[in-house]
Amino acid sequence: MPNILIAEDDAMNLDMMTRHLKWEGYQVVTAVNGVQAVALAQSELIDLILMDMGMPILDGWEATRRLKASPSTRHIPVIALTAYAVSEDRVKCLSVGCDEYETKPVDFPRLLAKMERFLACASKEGVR
Amino acid sequence: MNITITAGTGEGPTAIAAFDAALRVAGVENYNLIPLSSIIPPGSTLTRTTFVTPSDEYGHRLYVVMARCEEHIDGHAAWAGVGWVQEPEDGRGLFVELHGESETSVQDAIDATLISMMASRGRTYGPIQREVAGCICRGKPVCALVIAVYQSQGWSSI
Repeated sequence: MPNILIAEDDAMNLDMMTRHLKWEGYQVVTAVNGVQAVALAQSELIDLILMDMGMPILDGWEATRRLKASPSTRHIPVIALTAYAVSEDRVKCLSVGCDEYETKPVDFPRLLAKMERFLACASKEGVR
Repeated sequence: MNITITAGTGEGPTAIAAFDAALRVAGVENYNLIPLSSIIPPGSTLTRTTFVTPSDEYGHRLYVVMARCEEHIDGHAAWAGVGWVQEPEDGRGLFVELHGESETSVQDAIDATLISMMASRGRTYGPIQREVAGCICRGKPVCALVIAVYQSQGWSSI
């Protein structure tokens, strides 16, 4: 099953996202800040990243910039997770390299549908 | 019947808002919930999964066994859990729904309650299963939920 990296500093959100993704059969790796997220994306075989944008130490914006600047990680789809629902945030997320955007609290059926679209594309392209 | 086990945690400006946020995470925020007691009918299968609400079921009744815990004191935790056992032969079984201040206390309460209920019935059940969710209050009311969803029903028949 695909290996999903969840980068989220809020323990409550992290627990719920991990739980729901495991229920759906995904393997899950977790990070609580952007530094950990970048390191895990480089050291593990990650198929997709769920990135909270408001993390400490290194936020999701900068972590995504670094991931998309690196040849070894730029192919990994990044779905931004943010509490803000304004359209400027969607533009900002896409501008730093995020591939998609989802607001919190997370609508899991909608998030899973977005994830499956990216994972299906990656599977067809043979990316791993 | 397939019974879905889902869970959610949420926070909000009031306890009800936190409850609604947790319902949303659990995927059942647009139903009118009808709490059931504790019996799993024969032939039931239980699945832990993300509950998906069909778009045409807004406002329907939804029959559930629900564990719910709210907390509004900063630094305190809210834990909710559902436990169950089923007979291996036909799937009939028992639910319990508990809540408390820690994961361990909820798990222990689930085990103690189910052991007592099984003993009083004198039947042979399978191992105890649990789903427990929790969260910590950080300035705003929080709510933790675990819900066993039986089935929905519309209003047209009334």
